[in-house]
Amino acid sequence: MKLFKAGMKNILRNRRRTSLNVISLALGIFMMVFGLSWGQGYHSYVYTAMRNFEAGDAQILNRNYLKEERRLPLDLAVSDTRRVVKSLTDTNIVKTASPRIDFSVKVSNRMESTRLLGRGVSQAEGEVTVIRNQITEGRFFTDTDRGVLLGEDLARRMKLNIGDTLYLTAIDRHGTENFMSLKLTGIFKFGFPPIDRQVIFVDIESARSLLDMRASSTRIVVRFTEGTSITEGLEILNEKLANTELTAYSWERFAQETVSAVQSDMGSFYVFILILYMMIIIGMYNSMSMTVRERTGEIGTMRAIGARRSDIIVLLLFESIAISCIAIIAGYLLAAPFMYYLTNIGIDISSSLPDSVPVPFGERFYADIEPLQFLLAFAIGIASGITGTLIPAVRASRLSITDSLGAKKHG
Amino acid sequence: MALIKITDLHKQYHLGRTTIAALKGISFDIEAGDFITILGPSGCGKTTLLNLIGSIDDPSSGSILFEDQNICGLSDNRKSEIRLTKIGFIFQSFNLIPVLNVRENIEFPMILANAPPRTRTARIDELVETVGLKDFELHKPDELSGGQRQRVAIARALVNRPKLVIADEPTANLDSVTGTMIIEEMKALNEQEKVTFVFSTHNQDVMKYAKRIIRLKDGAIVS
Amino acid sequence: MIFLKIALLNLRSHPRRTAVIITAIALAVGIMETVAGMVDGMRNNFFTNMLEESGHIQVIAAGKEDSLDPFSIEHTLDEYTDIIDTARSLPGVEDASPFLTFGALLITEEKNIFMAGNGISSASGFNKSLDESIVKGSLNGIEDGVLISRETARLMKLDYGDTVIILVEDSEGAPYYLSFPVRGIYQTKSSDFDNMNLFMSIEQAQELLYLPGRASTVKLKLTDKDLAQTAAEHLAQAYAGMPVVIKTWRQIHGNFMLLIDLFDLFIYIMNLFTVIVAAAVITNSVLMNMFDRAREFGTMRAVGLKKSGLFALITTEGLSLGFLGSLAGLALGIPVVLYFQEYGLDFGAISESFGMGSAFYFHLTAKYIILNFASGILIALAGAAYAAWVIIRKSVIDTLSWR
Ligand SMILES: Nc1ncnc2c1ncn2[C@@H]1O[C@H](COP(=O)(O)OP(=O)(O)OP(=O)(O)O)[C@@H](O)[C@H]1O
Ligand SMILES: [Mg+2]
Repeated sequence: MKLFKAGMKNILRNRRRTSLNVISLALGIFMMVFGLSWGQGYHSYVYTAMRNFEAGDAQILNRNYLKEERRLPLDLAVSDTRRVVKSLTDTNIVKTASPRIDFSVKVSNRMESTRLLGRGVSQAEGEVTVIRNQITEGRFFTDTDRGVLLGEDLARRMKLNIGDTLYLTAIDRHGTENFMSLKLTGIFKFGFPPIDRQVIFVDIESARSLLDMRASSTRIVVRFTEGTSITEGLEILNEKLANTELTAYSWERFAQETVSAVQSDMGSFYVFILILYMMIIIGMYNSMSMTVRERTGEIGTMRAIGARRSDIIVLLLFESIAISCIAIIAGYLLAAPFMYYLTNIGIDISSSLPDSVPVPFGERFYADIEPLQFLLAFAIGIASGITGTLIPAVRASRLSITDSLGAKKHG
Repeated sequence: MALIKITDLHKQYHLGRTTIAALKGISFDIEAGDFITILGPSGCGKTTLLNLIGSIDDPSSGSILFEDQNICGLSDNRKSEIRLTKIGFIFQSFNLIPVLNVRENIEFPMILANAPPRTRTARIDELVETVGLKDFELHKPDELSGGQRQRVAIARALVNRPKLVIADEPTANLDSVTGTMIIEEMKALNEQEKVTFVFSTHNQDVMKYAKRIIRLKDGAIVS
Repeated sequence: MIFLKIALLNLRSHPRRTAVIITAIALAVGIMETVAGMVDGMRNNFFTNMLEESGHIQVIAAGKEDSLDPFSIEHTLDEYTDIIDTARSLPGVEDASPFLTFGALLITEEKNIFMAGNGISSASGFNKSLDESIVKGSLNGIEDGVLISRETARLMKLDYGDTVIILVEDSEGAPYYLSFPVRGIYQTKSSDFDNMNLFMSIEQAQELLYLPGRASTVKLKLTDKDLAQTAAEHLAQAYAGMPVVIKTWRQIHGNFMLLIDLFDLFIYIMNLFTVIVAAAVITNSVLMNMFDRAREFGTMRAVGLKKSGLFALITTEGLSLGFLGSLAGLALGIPVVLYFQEYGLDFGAISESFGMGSAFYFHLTAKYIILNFASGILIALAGAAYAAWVIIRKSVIDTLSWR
């Protein structure tokens, strides 16, 4: 504590130097806290959204499906879906399993038509994704319902209301074009254009008869029971599916665009922060070197009256820790208003992004503050202060007492 | 007519609430060609007085007429000009520019005075010769002994042919033999080149070289 | 001159301190150069690649953009050759070419896939990048066959010379198909683009769709993108009352322009942080350096150096540091930019949705090199100027007896 006090006195003695160090480190801390909470918000929001909107925890597909995913191959299906679903839910790791059929479909209101991604789903889809909560009008399917669900904007654009008829044309499993009319039973809005504008949900039985899929589906989306980790669950599933034509994949496989976007964003942020801290460490190193040079005589005196080498090092380290502490507090204070804004009010990003961006930002974007981020910034702030100080401190402790006492006589 | 006329010079330092009167009404004249020693115990105001004469500090009151011009209260640029052309400084701890060699250190004030290169070379050759550093002219200050460094400082002080050279304890950082040699050289320059010297010292031995001795005590002249 | 000499000698005689300051400047300039290369890569990509594809002005059949189906052929341009002739007569128009886009089902024996069909003119100035991306066959193949991407070829198990059926809904709403030989296989940097597009001559497309003499869009390429507004006004005048919509690149890419602005802002903020941190570090270092030599400066003042002279002396040293640091920074940053200019930075699929291909290519520009070089010097100069200001405000005595 005495040493800490001595450190404080010294940093007050040279206010200009201290304040410049504080400015740079405080900015570093600010960037860190801000960036981490932003990143965390982005990360957790986007990942959760991807899983809740579409991907679930894991998906089971025909082994060869993904290689040809682009053409939505109906021939590479999960045959006898009911049996597979049952065997999945019989295990104690799968909470729900929802079969899906993805297909290309032309949707018409008799006046106009457009091509969409058709997605045949059953009632179970409401258990693996949040679609049930995204319905703004009408309702989600029960197992006996027949009909389609359409995005809000699309329904409005096609002037369709609940109960109106839509006409679907699709090419079935055998390459034959089939036709079917279905009623609009629900309208949804995810706030994620790739779903809202591109997907039409069809009850799975209708989809099966439109595509002549009998009892099969193109994939089964799975949610694991609580306490089952994804890797663990996948391992068990794939063991179970070992001798079949099926494979289970992690949700990340279906949100690759998003995952890679988030990862590279965070990656570039870390590189930037790293370089910023390198500069901060250099600054710290430089000013502590100066301090040591200036106070050579003082250090010599202290050594002469009995301070050990380690005392000198500790003294200087305390000094830099004191500077870091001030900077960290300043950085926190600087970040506070931004953080408040970002967590409570959020910013509207989606309106300025093109529709094609595969990242579900939702309506507003919020940062995610966790104590860990502050702790991390604190630790890194202190660590960079110490890193910058270590070399000068060791050098100071190694000075010979007689040399440092006579240091003033030069020039 | 006196080269410098000092009238009722006062200097106070303010340290927080206390005021220290370093000089309390100093008056004397310096004639061209003088070789003046300022003598007195530590803290009597020698450095303060020389700084005022050298125009690197301003008095609290009183005047210093340098060739009939009051140098107190001139603009900084005018004072720099006077220091450059009319005054030479020799410091107790030499104060050479560490990165420049002997020739360059001597040359520096001439460059500031915009002297043409040819003139500079000639003048430096001459001075290096005078202070006896011919063999060391390309050495850096840290490769020289204390006495050699002070000779470089003397040469630097003389380079622009000043009317007055001020030296604040030029021998204090030297052993007594070297110190005496430095004073002898200054004396020789005073006699041959007619340079006016004002210097302070603790050293009683130096007195015998002085043409005139001014004794200070507690900021006032005692004789 | 003597100031520069003293400055350089001082830098040399304190190598560690010099190295520290230069490293700080170099890191800052390095970051700024890398970031500039990134931003400029984005901009460059936008202005070359995206405008290359979209053209600077598009003349579109009225109503086409309002159709529900982006591939709708309900609205097409009548007499597009007339529009092309008019466009070509305008000043600054380098090329005007017709395009006929449509939704197509590509069918082989057991597979089918929905794609975007593009009827293009073989004389079009827009074909350059497609031509460059062909890996098998040639662009001439559009005359009597189709061009598909390597990815589509793999997916559909097709090779050069194989025959495919292309099924469309013709202008009367009836299904119609023709078979075409694959006469070219291409591969661009964007897999999204490759997955989606097939090409044939506009004449073949017109026949397939039963749309003789019609196109969906005429794209104009200008010698200078800033001429777009006036050229568009001319065209609008010439075709007043006709069922056409004329759009400039700004209107076509409104969303992206906004995004680029947003991105720019983000970059500026990042650069600002870098500059502030660097400036604080550098100012600190320069200050230390100068205070350390205060007595030396005091001596110079005592022998006649003016305040302005001292200021110049100190800033000269800052300038030298800035110069060396900036050089080092560019030596650090330029290779990074060049590397990513050559090999691209894999920003994952996100960059594809911004129309940039699967990797994101940086771009090195003289303008930014100069700007960053100047910024590095300015940061150091500012630090030195501050130090100089602190020192020259002190009296000669105080400087001489510093601390
Ligand atoms: N910058 C200053 N601030 C306050 N007091 C000062 C300052 N400089 C000198 N003094 C005081 O003024 C008085 C005269 O000081 P000065 O340095 O002129 O004495 P000196 O005769 O040169 O002493 P020495 O022989 O020790 O060099 C002393 O009491 C000193 O404490
Ligand atoms: Mg003294």
